Amino acid sequence: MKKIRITIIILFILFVAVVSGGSLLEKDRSFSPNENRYLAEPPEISFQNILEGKFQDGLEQYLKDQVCFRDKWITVKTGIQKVCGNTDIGGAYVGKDGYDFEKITREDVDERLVRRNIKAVSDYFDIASEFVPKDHLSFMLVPTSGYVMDDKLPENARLFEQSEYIDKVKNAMKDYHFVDVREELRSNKDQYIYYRTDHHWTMDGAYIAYKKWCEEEQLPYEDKNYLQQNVMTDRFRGSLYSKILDAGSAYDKIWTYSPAGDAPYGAHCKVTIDNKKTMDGCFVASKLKEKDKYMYFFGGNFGEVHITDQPDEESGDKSEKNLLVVKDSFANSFVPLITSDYDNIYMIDLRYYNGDAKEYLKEKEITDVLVLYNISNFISDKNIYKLVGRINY
Amino acid sequence: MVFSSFVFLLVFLPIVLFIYYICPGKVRNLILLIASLIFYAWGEPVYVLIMLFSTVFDYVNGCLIEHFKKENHPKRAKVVLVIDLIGNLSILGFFKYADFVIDNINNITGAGLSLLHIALPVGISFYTFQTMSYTIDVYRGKVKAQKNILDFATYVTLFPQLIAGPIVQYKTIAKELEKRKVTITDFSEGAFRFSVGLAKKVLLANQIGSLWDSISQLNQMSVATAWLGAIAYSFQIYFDFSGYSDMAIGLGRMFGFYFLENFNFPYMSKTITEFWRRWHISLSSWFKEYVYISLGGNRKGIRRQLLNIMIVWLLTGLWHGANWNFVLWGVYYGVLLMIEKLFLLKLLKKIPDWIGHLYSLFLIIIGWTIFAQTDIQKLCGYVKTMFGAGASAGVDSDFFYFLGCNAVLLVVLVLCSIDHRVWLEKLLGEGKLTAVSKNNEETVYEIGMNSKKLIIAKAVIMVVLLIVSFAFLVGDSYNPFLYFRF
Repeated sequence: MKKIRITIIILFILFVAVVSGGSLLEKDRSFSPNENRYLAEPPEISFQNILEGKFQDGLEQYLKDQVCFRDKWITVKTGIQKVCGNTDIGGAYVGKDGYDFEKITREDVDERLVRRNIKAVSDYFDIASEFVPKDHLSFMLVPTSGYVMDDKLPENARLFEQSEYIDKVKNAMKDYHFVDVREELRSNKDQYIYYRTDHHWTMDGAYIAYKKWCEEEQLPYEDKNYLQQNVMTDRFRGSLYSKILDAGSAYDKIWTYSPAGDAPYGAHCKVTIDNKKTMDGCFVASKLKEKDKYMYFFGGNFGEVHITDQPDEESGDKSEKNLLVVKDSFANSFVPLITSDYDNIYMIDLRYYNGDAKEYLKEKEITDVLVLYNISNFISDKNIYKLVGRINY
Repeated sequence: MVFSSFVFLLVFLPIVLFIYYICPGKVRNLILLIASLIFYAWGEPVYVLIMLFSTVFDYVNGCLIEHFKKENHPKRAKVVLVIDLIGNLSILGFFKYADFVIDNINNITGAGLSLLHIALPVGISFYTFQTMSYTIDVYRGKVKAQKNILDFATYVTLFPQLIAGPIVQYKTIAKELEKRKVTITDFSEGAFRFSVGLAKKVLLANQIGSLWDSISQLNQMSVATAWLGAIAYSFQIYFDFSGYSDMAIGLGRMFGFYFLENFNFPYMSKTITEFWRRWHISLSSWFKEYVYISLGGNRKGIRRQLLNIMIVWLLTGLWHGANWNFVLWGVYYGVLLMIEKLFLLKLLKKIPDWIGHLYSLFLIIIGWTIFAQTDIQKLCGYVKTMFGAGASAGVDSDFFYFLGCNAVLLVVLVLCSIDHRVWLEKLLGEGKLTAVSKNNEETVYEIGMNSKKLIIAKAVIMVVLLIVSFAFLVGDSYNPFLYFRF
């Protein structure tokens, strides 16, 4: 009996010693790619810091961030939660068939912000209609994967009523061109149209919206059956994976499409980012080696991206088609499909763009406007007011 | 510092244990004192001064009371005691209740006095009650005054029970303060107990607590969801608090102190009277010993007894927090206990046990609903929803979702709330459970002191609980930055 008792004592001390000593010995990491944040460094010891409690809080944060085998501990936790039937982990839903979903409940929706954002877009269209015909002012609002693939959501999972909000926006856009992609996406919900581990749509999801867009804008498009799929990576674990951190999570593929025998859509153009960096095509292969492989499209999000189909500038052509895309990251996999339909495409991302969006219309001789947002971004983004440059009520 | 923090588990505890055990017995109280002061000052660097003041104040008063008693000046002893009580209660009153009083004066008279916005010193409700128990007991002649201020300071500041109890009365550990010995059994039982407490806090209380958090944030809910939320909170508060007490008791034993049990499977109660013998035992026995009995208890007729019960429960409510919902909660229990005392207890004894369990749990859950919400308006809304008024439906899909996600956890919570000693004794045979301490009327058992199988099981359980608890602790620190939305 005594031996077992001593074993208990040794086990207890061993546990504390291993975790404590292991954390001490393990080299500090400065960045956590899954969390996309810098990890805490040791706090500074000073009388003032101790008195204010900054040192104490800093040390706790430092230990939390730099504990040994940090990610392993978290996958153990996720594993146990999953075994216990919990499908609400780390602020995301663990769905069926390897699908994870964003968790946005009705309590998360800020009604005032939604009203403000809708008003900002319709005000902007009102102003834009002075230069651009009304039917060339378009708004595409993309539903989330949880809405489209509702059969893969956990039973009874709580989501906000996004269809109601999309209807609200649609109503406010009566005078303009609202591209409603709900039906088309939902009727393809058994296809691979959203990533399993990321909240974005895949190229197939974007293609469905592209087809609808082309039909309504009377633009020609290639049938998907004649397109060739180029898989760029099959080792993508996206934002939802990072939230849940499940060791057994699926991997996603990222791909592009090319017309038979040609280079992929979006590869032929010249892309200028923030008036500084230029590159050929919409794709950045080096991002496939990083954690967030969705950045393969355009290399991420930037304030202003100019895409032109004509590498040699031929100015003065009055019949030029210039499209302004006001967007979030969902547009990044959509825009490559339409690069050859316009002479110039200007993408502005209001989170990073601080210029005058009204002046921009004149300056770039815009002939078409497309506002493209994912519904969950649109209802929560606090930058959309920048379109009209003032906060409405 | 709290026991479930990384600083405590990975830095403080190993260092203190190491230094404590390499040093000779004579300086061990000093080491505990220094460790406890660091432990307290960690979160409250300035407020440690209040605790030190309390220590000196009560130390001096204890000595004075004993001195006057020896010199045959009982009146002077009484004066010192009164001064001591006033002093302690003033400190507690000022830091805990000043803003509450000002706020209420403002509400009644519209005087518009500005609030003081004093942060509540952690653990002040616990350690003032402990030191008061000391001076009262010295006055009553139940304990000798502690002449060694170091030993006394060690008692007041003792970190295992400093900030969330149990309320350890001086007489419980008076002998151990002067001389104690830690056996291998003590340390291993202490380590096991600590791990169990940590698991209760991290794996049970925190997890079910997040269900309560989600439900209490809803604007609209069904009757079933409201009840699920109230049940979740009832589990959360029990496992949080009893887990903390387990950690305190376990740590105490690792340093050679035997604290009394603080919880005895309270949700097994068949009456509310029984519930309060099983819940937060150190607090109810404190109030019983120092308030209820001092007021005359049940010796002055039934009317006076009922009044005494009401006074005790008003104070118990207020002790839990400076807010009207706590007062309401105290009165609620005062009334229930009076009703039981008057006639219900006799009735409850005659009916089948399961009705008693149901009756008690129903009232306990309503009680926690009152306790959980400091906003009276929200509280009323919530209770109404529980009884169907203003609810969106009887049941809804939200309820089924919450239930599905937490089904396994709820089963575990129920199992852990059941007194497992009954079937363990059956499993192991008579005499394998050993009674180790008597705490009020309830005998408290320690499991498997004489069973080899059980000790091996304890070793395995301890390691598993430590690993899983730690995984959840690290998991809770994981917070992806929300850039992902873009």
